[in-house]
Amino acid sequence: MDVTRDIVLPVDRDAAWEVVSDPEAWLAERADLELVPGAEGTLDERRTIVEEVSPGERLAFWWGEEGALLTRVELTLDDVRDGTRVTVVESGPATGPVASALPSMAMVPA
Amino acid sequence: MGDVFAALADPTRREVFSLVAAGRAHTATELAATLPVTRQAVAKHLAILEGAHLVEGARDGRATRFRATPEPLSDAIAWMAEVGGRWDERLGRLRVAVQERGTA
Repeated sequence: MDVTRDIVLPVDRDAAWEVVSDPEAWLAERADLELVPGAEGTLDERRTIVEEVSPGERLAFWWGEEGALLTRVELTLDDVRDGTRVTVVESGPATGPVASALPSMAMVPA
Repeated sequence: MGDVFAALADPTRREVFSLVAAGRAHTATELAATLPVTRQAVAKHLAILEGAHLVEGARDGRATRFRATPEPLSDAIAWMAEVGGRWDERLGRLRVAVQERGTA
């Protein structure tokens, strides 16, 4: 079960990434999270685990409010004629094998 | 809840679900008589729908009668609407943040 949204930003991919990869600019009022794979922290009240950080291309993480199942968020940047398209896909909530794979992923050294 | 759309991703399974929901068929045998698939295939589809809590089976003599329990579907739609709405807001903030940096 996925929710997909996208937006075209009138800037190049590097400029778009600079803002996308700054959670406090748009994702949360308070971000206590290092953007490196395996890092765990919080975006506002949501527990968050970083899965992938590919500068200029992709950012993927898992998040969820206290006690809730985590959902996966993937942000992808693409060049388009008018700038950069940012596509977000939130999938979840995680059940089954995906959810059980999480603890091991969280232990990936930062 | 995560299984709801996966369960309905298959066209035959959607038909099984809509026949049961419409009350036009209640057992694997009745469904197999209506659909171009075997009773065994229908039973498999029903098991997946039941796993997603979209139908519920109850023994009735030798047969199992199914009824639709579409609550998970409205939960799933509510989840998508809420999550989608939050992303609309965040992407709006992203647009503003990009504009602000561009003019700074």
